[in-house]
Amino acid sequence: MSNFLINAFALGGLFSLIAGPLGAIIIWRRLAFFGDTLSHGALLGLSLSLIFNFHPIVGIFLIAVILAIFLGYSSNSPGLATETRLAILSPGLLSLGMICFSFFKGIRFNLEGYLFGDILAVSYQDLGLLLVGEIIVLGFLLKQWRALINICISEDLATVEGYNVPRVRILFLFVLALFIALTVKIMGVLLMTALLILPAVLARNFSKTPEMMAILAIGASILMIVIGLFVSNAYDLAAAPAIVITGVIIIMSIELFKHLRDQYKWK
Amino acid sequence: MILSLDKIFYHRNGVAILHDVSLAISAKELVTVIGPNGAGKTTLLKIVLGLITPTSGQIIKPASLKIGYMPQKLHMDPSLPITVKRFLEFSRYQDALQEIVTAVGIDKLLEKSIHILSGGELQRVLLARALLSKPDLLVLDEPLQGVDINGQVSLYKLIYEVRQVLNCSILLVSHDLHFVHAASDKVICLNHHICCAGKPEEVKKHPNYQSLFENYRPEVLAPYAHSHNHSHDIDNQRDECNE
Repeated sequence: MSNFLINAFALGGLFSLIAGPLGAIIIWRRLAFFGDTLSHGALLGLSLSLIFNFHPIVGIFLIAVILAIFLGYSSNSPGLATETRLAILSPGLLSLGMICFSFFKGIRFNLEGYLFGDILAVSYQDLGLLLVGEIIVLGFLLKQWRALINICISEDLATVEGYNVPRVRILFLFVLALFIALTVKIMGVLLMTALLILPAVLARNFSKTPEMMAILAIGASILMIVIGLFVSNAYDLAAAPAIVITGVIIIMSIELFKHLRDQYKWK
Repeated sequence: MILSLDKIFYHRNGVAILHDVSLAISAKELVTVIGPNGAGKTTLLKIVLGLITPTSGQIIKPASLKIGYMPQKLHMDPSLPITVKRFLEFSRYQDALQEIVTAVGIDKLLEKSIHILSGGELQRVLLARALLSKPDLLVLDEPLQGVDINGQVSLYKLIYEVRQVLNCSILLVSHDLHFVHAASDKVICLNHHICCAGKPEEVKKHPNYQSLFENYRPEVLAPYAHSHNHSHDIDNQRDECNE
């Protein structure tokens, strides 16, 4: 196995360790569209960081944090559902990011790599940053787990029991923003949410408790990434689409099986 | 007096939801708030719970007051896998878990997924969670929601027993204008403002209702006969009370 591939697997493992529980919370909190908006905003953050010369991760994180604050505090506007507002904002950000790129043609830059990810192009510096980020995110998830689950159960109940719900909610969005900033180079802007959500959806089928689902989602993510990487390596495909397709095929097979089982009352 | 509201006003988007609402809850008192849909009952509860801040007015309660809250329902996503047992374990208060599970009669539900419970079962589980903190004040939002008449009677009976054991006050909200918990010490009829308040009449004085509910343990359901000295027109515009 090539060195590149070993690195890729290591990165996949690191990614999965966080993506599992984070993805589970995203679907419990119905934040899938929100995640999409954050990751699409990452492209804008990236182009701004190239124009103004910061580290890409800084630019992406800043834009994501601004979005998290903006969306986190304006969740109850009358007239439009949150979903609708996100459906306006998300393509808006993606388009703005693209336009910013085309204005600065001088920048030498692999746009496709950022759209679909490039798991093989990760430097040791990226890896180091990812490790530090992992520790922060994992620490947060472990420390706030009870609060997070209580908020998923009922924000009102959590508030009455004394949890600081707005604080935990906004911290979760920051952590999500941080994770997206750190991994967007590996997994890409377009498929980020799918990579977070698919393992959690897969794990839901086999889980009776939230903890079980979070842990199984880590396993499901590793499984998807390993199969996806082998496929992408064998057929020379981009990694993220291969991983996503792997996940989608597994999930759809399970759904089909469940449907047939119910239809024909298989035991 | 364990909690009182003083001249509470609440406006949302320029619309008055609550208008000059004052009420007091004493220790061990069962207070029932009734009113039609959209009368501001849930808003009133949320103010008592500290979930929303009134536009004006004061909430007076000791800082140490422990409140147990039973929401109308949970808006939990079905993708969150959780058993009844795990749901209860996520409360901060675990000391009385076994005792309360038995008292509320949900032993057999512990390993079930919370998503597949019937209306009555879910209400019992929510009640159990509200009781875990051994509250001084139990706040119940439409506890009979989605429960059939037999279940309603047994749930009311359970609430009555709970109060005997825990010695707590209860604030209960219901949209049923005609039947309230027979043990209510006070009934408040709310339609943005307090229309009237008083004690429910003794069920025994109403042979009509008695015969209607004789199979349903009349001691726990009582008709609350009350007359308004003013009317509300169809679009819920409030006329002034002529008190």
